[in-house]
Amino acid sequence: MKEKIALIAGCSHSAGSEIDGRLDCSYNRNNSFGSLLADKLGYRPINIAINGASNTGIARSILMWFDEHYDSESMDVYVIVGWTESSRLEIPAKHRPSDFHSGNPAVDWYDSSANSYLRINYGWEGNDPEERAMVPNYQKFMTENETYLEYQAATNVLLVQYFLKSLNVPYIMCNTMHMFVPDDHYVSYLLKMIDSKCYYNFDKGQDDSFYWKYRNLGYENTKAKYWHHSEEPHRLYAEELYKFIGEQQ
Amino acid sequence: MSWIKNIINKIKREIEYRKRIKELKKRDPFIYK
Repeated sequence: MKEKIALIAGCSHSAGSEIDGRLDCSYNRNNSFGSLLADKLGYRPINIAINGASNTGIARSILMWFDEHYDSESMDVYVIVGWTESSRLEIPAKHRPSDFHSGNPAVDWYDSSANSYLRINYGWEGNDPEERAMVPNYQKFMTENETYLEYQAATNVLLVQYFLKSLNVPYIMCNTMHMFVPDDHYVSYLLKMIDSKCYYNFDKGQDDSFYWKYRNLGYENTKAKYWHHSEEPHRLYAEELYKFIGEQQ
Repeated sequence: MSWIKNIINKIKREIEYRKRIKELKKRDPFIYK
């Protein structure tokens, strides 16, 4: 009999970060929306989500996991992807390796290719003088090229969708933060090609993403230092996704 | 006088940029390592 595995990929929201106040631990991952959804679907969760991940990193972690572990003879895999903020960048920087594993001690499998990249978002200023000198230039690029970054996010979605389809592996995707401006002239060409039957609320904008939806509904996690949700929004979102999956069948 | 216009446009672009990045920082404020 094949082993039923749910592969959960994403950023901190998919890792359940700060549910109990800690950045990463087994309790948080077990209570993340992805793990709760895996339980409902009858799969054993393997949570490879990483705090601060970018969408390129999320897509690559899925490909790398399949490359290293997937065996269609012995596994029945279901993939749960929580896409993150589309503006995040991963810059190739193997001359100054990063260590994201130590900040994610409870991750079920770590994609070590991430160590060759520097991650940049809008609010981060860098850890050392070299990073602090580099980061503002990238942030300027990000600010002046929002459409381009959303377009790249859409290509990551398509990459993973077509990859999983090629293996006949079922999946569900959702947005945990801002991904697209739905009616953007350029991005809409790609959004038309995305399989919406396997992507919850993909075209509904930021307010329907996991983090912003429950934040706007008034949920507040007093234990969190970095604005992540507690158990209840994760539980409710797992129910939403489960219902959506049922409606598509 | 075109150099004055250039400076004014440059300042306008910089003000626009600073306003936008301030908004965007609220959307994704930090990465924690």
